[in-house]
Amino acid sequence: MDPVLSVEHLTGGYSRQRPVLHDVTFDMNPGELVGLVGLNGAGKSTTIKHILGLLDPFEGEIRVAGRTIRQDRLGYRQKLAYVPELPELYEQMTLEEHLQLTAMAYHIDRTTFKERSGRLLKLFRMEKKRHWFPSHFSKGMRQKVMIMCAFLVRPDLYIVDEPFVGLDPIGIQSLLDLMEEMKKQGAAILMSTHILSTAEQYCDKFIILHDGQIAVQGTLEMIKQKFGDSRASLHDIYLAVARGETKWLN
Amino acid sequence: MAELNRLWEKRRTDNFQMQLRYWNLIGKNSGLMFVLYAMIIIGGFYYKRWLDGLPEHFPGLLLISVVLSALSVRAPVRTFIQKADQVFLLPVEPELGGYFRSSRIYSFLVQSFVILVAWIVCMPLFFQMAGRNPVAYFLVLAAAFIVKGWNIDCRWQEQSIDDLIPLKILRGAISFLFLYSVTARLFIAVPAACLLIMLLSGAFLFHRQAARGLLKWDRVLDMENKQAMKFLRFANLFTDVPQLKHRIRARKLISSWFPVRSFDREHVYDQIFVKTFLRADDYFGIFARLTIIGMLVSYFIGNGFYTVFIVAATVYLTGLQLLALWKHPLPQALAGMYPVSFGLKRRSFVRLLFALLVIQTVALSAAGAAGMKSPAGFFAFLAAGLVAGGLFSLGYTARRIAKENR
Repeated sequence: MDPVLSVEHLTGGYSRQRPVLHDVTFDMNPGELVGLVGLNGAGKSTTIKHILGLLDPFEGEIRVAGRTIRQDRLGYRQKLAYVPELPELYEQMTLEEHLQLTAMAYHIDRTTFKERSGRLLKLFRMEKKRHWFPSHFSKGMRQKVMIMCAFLVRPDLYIVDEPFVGLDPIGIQSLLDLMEEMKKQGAAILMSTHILSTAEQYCDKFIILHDGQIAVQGTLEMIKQKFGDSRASLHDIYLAVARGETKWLN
Repeated sequence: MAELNRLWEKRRTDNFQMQLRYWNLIGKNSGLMFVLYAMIIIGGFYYKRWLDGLPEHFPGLLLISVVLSALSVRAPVRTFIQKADQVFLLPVEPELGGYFRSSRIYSFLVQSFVILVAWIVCMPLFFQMAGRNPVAYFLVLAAAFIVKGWNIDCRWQEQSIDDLIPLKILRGAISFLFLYSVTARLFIAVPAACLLIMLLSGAFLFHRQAARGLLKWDRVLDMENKQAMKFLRFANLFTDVPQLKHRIRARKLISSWFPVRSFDREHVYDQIFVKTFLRADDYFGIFARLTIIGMLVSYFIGNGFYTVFIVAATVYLTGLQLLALWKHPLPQALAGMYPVSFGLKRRSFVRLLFALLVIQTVALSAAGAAGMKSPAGFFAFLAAGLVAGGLFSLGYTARRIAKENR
């Protein structure tokens, strides 16, 4: 089966003189939840921006379902949904209108919309806030709006950037449950996060980024084996990479 | 603490300079100054006529007391507190006494000036009602200042008190009674009693309760913002005030006329632009104001050729103002990610712009035709507006934004 997302030899960033990412290569298959971890400044957000098509690769290419964004901009965008780290909302739109606009943009019919949005609103306990404007929302509620918009679409690929900060425990659990469900239905999810314990529990694979390069990637078992300590946690391994104890990688 | 006092000084000067810059812009608006002079002169003329025609038993003194007490009971304290202070100044809250004292004195001085102006305006009325007695009228001014000072002090104590409604009622009632007793020269015991109540309630009601409560920073911040906004909103009538941007109004009724009809990709940006136009910034306000001004001018000008020109010019000016809507920032994570082509966005915008200009044209033409009582004129004006609006939106704007290909 074709990978949903393939990133090949991606070198990129904001200026050609000083690229942030160096030769990043990874694939994501349907039904995979991949954790993207790394220190602040390791290049997680830059990677995400490249995948979203907000930055042009200097070298290499990114394909979603086999196509690059240059080949088919709308088809590419149609296949992915994005939850940003900092929620950005239309300040002039109500929660309901956010969902409606998403439905319009991704061409979701009315019955599907009703069913999905009703469920999402209930799941995140926002039913009573349908007609509220974002100025009355807390950070966590704004985050929930972003998540609801993304999961309303049900695309093949989800890009989720540090989703847990600010969410209440029910919100976090609902998000994790939703991700599990989408995975079962064949979606691929790329999630960047610092909450390693949760990532360890839920992600199928990990990509540890360090200084713009992939230090190590694979299932936790594979990474542990490489690390040479089957009792090490993701946290231990991640710290080792971050501190530059990288002899085991080679 | 000296540093905190310096902080207050700095904020006051910053605010003063900011206001000065805006006043400068407002002053350059020569049309405004002219209107102001004209209003003072015309107002003075009619005021005199009104006074001459007053009946014997007109309750003029009561009116003066109402005006002065309305001005003195509303006593917000200008603190220049900013949102970040809730974090950075919170630890030194016990040492902010001097800072807030300066705030109260400043608020007293600024608001006393307003009272002074009102006092001067009321002077002829007072002399007409109570005879030419300057000493008595100066006593009224002194009383108004006392009331203002007391109200500002109490208002500040209220910032640490929870149950405000009885206190506000007390404040209003006593202030009015005191001012009326001085203005109408009631028996001396009445104002004296009021003064005593003011002193006692100030000490034992306001100060004592405040000492037990905590300062409600949110309320202080809210009070500050409201006052700051009031000036900026005024300045915004004459010039563009960036701080006022991105205010959202729900506009429930008018928004409900534009529900989501079909979940079609073609209409995403129709929705976004319509709702943004109605609710965000001041797009709708600008459109409404220009339309009303245009209608008034068209109605009163009464000359067909000029009206044609006015209609076309108003439509063009409105179109220019509405172009900003195209640049209204939309969230990258939502609108930026939609699988919707740029062409659809352009089409939605041009369509909305054209529709708005057509609506305006109809309104202007109707006003112009009504002013000239000529139904035929309506169609001439309509044609002029449609040509101007069509050229501007379908021609100029469509071509201009097509160049920004992305």
